[in-house]
Amino acid sequence: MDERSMQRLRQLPDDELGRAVARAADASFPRTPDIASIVQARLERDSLAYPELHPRRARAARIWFPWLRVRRATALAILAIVLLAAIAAAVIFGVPGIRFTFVPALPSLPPTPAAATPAPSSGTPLPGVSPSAPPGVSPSPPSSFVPSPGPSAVGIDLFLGAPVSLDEARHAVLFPLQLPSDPLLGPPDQAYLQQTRIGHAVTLVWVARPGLSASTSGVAALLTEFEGSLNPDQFQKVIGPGTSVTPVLIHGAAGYWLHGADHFFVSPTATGGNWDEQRVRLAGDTLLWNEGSVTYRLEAPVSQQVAIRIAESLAP
Amino acid sequence: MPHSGPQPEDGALIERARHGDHEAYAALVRSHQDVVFRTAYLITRSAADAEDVTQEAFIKAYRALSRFREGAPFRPWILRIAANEARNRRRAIGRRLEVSADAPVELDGGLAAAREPADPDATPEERALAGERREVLLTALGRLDEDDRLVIAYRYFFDLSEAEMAEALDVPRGTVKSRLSRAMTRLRERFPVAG
Repeated sequence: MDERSMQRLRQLPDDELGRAVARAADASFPRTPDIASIVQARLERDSLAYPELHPRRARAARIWFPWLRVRRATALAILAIVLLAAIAAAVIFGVPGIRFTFVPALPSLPPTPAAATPAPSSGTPLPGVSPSAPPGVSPSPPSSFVPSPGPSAVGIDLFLGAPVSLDEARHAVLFPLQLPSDPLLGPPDQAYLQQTRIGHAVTLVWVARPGLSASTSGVAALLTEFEGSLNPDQFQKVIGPGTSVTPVLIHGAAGYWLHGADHFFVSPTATGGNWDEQRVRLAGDTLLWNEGSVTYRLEAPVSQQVAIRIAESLAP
Repeated sequence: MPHSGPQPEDGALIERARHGDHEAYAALVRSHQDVVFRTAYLITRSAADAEDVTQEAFIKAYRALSRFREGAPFRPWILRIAANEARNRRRAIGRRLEVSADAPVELDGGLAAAREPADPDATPEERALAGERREVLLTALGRLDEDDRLVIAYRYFFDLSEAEMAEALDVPRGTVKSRLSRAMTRLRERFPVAG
């Protein structure tokens, strides 16, 4: 812009110049996300988990139940027992970083592209875990990343993140990545890396093999490892009435076996914002546990005993 | 442009929300989320941070509803909460912003131009000039400090009244006009060099 035009712009009265800036800026702001729905969902969750946060009850709670503010974990544990007994609707924190939400019925989801993906042939090594992953594959794609996967990159359809080699996955995470040594699984066929608000989540994928059949998505087993967090916004499971949650022990540490009807698994968006619908998918029988600061999630068509055996076989 | 002006239905929604009606509160959030998100964005300059800030601000406001003065306008109150939240967030990630302190306000980068409706009657030269003008204004806006940016945004982007601006900025009402005027003067001074 030449100096004369600039001068003309400078000489506009305040109101006119102000409106010109407003017009320039208006088209340029990022689109506002649907905050209202997120806030409503959080309030609904909090009203079950943190009754003291209701605006009218806030003062009374501080007076009569000061421990609610400092001992949320205790309050939640009691609340979980009460609500599990009632089993109408409940929120409990099981493994750090995972939230279980019980709902009367699961809404139906449109079929995911994964359902149409043919199962890869058994035991074929897939490019995802080869040490030379294709160049340009970003280990932490932005949330708008829309890959066009080949039929073998099943994890992308399941919103597991970007395909990476095992070495890349090991380097990306701050905790020692563990692999199951149980012979039923053997080495994983693919690995995926996903950015979360608190770090990275690695998901190892096994396709069908003897003793382990693949689901319609082409995946037989999934093991996700991520740094657990007390922030309950990271991951969420929405569990319908057909799913049972059984507390189990993995090497003496607490875990949960989710068995029965499919449940939703909601993973966080890469930008660290809240989940979006795209990232919601149906999950089968799942074992959830954590070891130190790391949370593990094994999804496989095996019995509870075999799942625990696999979990206990994890080694760096 | 987010709509401003009086929100007569806010009072009823706030009253229902105070009694635990989450849907009423969601409706209240929906009518103010644009303005709050944009304010947070002007401070944090990151869409992801602005989203988090907006969410936290509305949650904090909900928890503080029992302290909200009945009949008062909601918008300045929520803007004040959001601006504080955004400043805290920015302090936490300060290093990232220092890098871009002198950059134009990056309002969605290259996508911005694509979304701006082009005047179908404009000649290519006129369109180019409009684009340059826009660049000049956004560069100048980006070079302002945060207080100046907010006062301009509250007045011209969101059409807040003087009283609402005073409350949102947490300053005496009598100082709003002079603050705005000084901000506009500095905006002119921050125009890039002609070229």
